[in-house]
Amino acid sequence: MSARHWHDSRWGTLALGLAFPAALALVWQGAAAKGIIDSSVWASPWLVAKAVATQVRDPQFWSDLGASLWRDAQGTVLGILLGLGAGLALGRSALARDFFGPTLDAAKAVPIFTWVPLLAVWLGSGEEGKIAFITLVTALPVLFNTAEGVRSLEARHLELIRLYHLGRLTTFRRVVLPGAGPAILRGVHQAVLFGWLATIGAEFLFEAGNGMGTNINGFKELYALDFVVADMLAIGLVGIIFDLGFGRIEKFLLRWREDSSP
Amino acid sequence: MTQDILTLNAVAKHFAVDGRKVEALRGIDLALRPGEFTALVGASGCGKSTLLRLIAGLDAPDAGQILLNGTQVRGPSRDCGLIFQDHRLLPWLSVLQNIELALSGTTHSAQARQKLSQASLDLVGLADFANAFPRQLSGGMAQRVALARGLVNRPPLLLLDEPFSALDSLTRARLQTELLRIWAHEGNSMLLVTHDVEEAVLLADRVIVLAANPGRIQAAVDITLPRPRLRNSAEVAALKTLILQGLDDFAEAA
Repeated sequence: MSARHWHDSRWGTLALGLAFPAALALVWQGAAAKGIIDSSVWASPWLVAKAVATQVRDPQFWSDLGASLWRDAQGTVLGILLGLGAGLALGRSALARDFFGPTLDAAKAVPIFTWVPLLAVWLGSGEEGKIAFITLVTALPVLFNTAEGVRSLEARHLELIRLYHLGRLTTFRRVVLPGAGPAILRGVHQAVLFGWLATIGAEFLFEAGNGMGTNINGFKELYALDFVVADMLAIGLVGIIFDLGFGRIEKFLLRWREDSSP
Repeated sequence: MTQDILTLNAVAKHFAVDGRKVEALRGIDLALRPGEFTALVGASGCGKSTLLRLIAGLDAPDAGQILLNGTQVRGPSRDCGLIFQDHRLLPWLSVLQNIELALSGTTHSAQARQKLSQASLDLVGLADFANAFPRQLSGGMAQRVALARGLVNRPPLLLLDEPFSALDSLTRARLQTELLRIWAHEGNSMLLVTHDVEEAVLLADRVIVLAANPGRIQAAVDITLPRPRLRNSAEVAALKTLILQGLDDFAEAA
């Protein structure tokens, strides 16, 4: 048995994890107070804290956050659905795999951001272009993971489809979808995280509109780096919430394969 | 005279192994009467499982004829259940959902399916495990659920492909007794493939001995001992010896 430490407890782990950023903030604040670093370039923690307090009372901040979340939701949902459909087709059909596979593998090698100019020209650099970019970014991990998950369904399980005369719908609902479930959820989890990154990225890269990317850019123009960092914290917090939230959903849906016995 | 539930006429099967043609089964003739418990024994590699897959309709024979209830087998049939060596439960479905899967596509309502599945689960003594996931079951319990799934639509013929071979000896003995109880309850025909001669002698009305390379029927031994048969009785031991000798003789002659 391994030795138990004080930081094995839930709160202990949390405290230990927060110790480093807290220490960093303290040193940073001290250095700014002593004038060792220029706090107009290196937004001090105190200034950032004040910026956060200002932002949470600013309707513009909430409007931009809402705009980003709505954009993210549209692009990500679309991407997940497309990726799921294409992934299932690709996983089930060897013909589709041989036909589309090489192209998709080649497309994987192209950095995703190089699509931005093309999408901007095709769909305009407004809302359509941004959402298309988020859709592209989120569809790919779902597609590849789903196809892989479906392809690696075990033959001994697939044999039951024939043995019990399962119809298409039952095969899909009871065998293919849950069997590929762990891989699909892995892809969707990535899509949820990448989608949020792509949303902010799109707001930087496409023509300005609203959203958190635009909000940050506005403060950058004003050289208000404390507000830039405050926005970064907000964006990061959203990412953490997505990650933890989806982790819980995943755990629930995959409860059938947990190792612990009841 | 009642019609045989299963008839095999000169059934043969080949496989291609590394481009070579390997004869797995040759000239298999077999007839199973309704309600009869038949065991098929033979050394590993004699084609026992291949034969069962042909009867189940999962593979097709290269020659010969397989009749189930007088009709040629062209694919899996609801009249013929199959229990695999591994339990083959889908790990992501609950125990009850796994059993219900075998009723998929039948005319039963969803409610009736659930009721039938629960009844089948009761029959194998696992009434309380309907909502468990397969990973929560022991090997013996999982195989019982597989049995419940195989029996849920009351097939007149149940095929069992070494169903207890992966279990420890205590669990195996318990499940053998259980299988006899279920057979008495259902009154269906059982075709049990096993490499365990003792198991065959304890359970079956008739033991068919398969020889290998190519797989073919070597002997059939009727077991007329009354049930329950005792594992350690002289009669069982004598029959075991007889069948094992048959297998040995053949191995020497081959």
